[in-house]
Amino acid sequence: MNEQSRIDIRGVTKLYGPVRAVNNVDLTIEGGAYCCMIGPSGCGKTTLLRMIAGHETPTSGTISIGGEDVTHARTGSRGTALMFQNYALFPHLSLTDNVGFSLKVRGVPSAERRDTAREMLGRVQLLHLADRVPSELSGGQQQRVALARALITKPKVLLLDEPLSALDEFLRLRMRVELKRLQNQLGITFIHVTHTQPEAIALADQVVVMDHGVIDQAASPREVYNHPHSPYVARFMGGQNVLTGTVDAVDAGQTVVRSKDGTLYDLPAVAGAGPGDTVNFSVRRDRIHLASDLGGGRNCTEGTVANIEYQGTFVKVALDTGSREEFVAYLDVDRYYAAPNEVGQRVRASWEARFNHVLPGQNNSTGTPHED
Amino acid sequence: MSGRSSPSGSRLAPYLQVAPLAFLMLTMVGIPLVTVVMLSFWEFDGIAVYPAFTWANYAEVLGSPVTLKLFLATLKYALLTLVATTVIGFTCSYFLVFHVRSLKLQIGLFLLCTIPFWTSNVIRMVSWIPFLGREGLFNSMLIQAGLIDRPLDILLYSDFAVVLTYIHLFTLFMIVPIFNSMAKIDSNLIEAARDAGATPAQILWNVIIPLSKTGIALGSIFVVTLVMGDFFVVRVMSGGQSASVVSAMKNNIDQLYYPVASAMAVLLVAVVLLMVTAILRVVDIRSELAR
Repeated sequence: MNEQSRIDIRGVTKLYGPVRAVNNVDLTIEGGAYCCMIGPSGCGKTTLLRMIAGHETPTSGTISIGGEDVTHARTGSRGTALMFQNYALFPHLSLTDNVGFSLKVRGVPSAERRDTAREMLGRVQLLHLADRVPSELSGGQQQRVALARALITKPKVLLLDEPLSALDEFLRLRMRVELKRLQNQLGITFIHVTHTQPEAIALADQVVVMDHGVIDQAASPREVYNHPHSPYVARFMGGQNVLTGTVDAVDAGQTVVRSKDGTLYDLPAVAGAGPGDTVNFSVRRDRIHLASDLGGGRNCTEGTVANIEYQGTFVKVALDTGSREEFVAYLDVDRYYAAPNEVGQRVRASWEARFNHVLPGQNNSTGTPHED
Repeated sequence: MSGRSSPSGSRLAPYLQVAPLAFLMLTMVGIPLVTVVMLSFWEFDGIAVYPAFTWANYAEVLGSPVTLKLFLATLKYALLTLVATTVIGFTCSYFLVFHVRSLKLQIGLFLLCTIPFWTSNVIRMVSWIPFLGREGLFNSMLIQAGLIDRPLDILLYSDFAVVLTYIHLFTLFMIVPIFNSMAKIDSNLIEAARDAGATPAQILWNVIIPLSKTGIALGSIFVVTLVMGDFFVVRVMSGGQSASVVSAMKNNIDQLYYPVASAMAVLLVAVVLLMVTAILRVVDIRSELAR
């Protein structure tokens, strides 16, 4: 799309003493894409972002922007701009001077700098506050100033470090829309670090799921959500039930897996899996049917209803199936209330075989999705 | 904004809380100051003081060409000391805040700065004498190194010695407030400046110095008032060759010329107040501290 702002990360490792914050990461972010890096705290997403911005230098590996190796290029001269989590506005400068700061250090004459800064403030609808200092602004306004300050250098890549985490729910949703609109307008690459799954799904063209310094999966949001690579991704992105079993039989184009309680599941062919091997697979929560008639069948599981939540557009029923993890079903509101369940009732959850999705990835960590 | 901390707390509580300090300030500062001002307007014939209003004391002080010389000499000391302590205080704080990564080491080094204060001012001052004297350590070192063949006289009993002692005595009063305001600078601000393409020098000039202003101003007030009010260091370290406003005042007091000394004191208070006001005009300390 836009070769100027394409980012190639090749074999990048960052060591902090013995700790591998980022471990041999390869990633290509297409120019003009909206990329969300997601993962729990300490997964290395912020370190990766800071290395792209030049605030950290990789221990090994290279980072290129638009085909140009910037691994060791000075911050501020590599075409990136970073928006900080707490905005990091200069408390002693007016909004105009905050926004015009990078022009000032580049030696742009005062009058020209002020004009450009005011024009930028106008774009984020804050021109009327141009002479105020940041402490007189609300959180949402401060964020828009930070955005204006980052964009005034016309960066090829805008890096956002958890930009929405300090805002309240209402503002967060509004800013989310705003960010997406801005990215469409500017056509530059946005890299957005977050730990909130709906944020990533809603914004991104490319979702990069990280854990323990490595990338577990990098793909489009639909791909990541529907076809998670590993049990960890499935759990972290949410919306999936993760199940485990051992291979019972391998047929042409089909693998039959038996779970601990003896139920059989029909999975698509699992590459390289022979009888006796352990296989993880998942099924989407909104593909489940609940029935009160128990016993028998394939592609199902039994459990006791542990919790029922009405969510407006669907009903969330959590089952205790005797495994460590809850089994969750999202049910259609009308159909659920035609035959509602009770907490403590024993039910059978079943689904069509085609909804079984094999998780080839090995990362089986718990992952705690944020659902807001 | 904030509600009453205790519903039973009466309106009197805040006044009672400030009462002890107010009492001390009134008796220890207020009354003596009023006495001095009063005395400066009383008549004096060289032997006795009469409680009658006169401008004569001020006329004598302001009419004497020595007064201006004294004030200029004292101001010179104050400015030289201010410049040196600011530079030293700023660099020390900068090193402590931005180069020492571990908090423990930071606190340790900070305490090191205070070690000289474990002894009295007088000892710290006097200990310069054997070091700087004609036969002192420094001179003999230079002679033995072959750098000079006669001892340098400028080292001791000179303006140089006075200012050097001031710097030694008062630099900590500069380090503490600057360190304090510098430590409050969010490290993200410096990264943000770096991200905007600022060089280290530009970060220093555009971010760190403006945000350390409060500390510099507070330290300046300490240093200026301390130097302007000193007479002991001037007397000992200049060997009696230089005088400051207060040392002249001391001479007047020794001769029991109280009203003249009072007039000079009032003048000095006015000058120091003007200087502090000037510093406060440059930096709005109240609003900066509230931040």
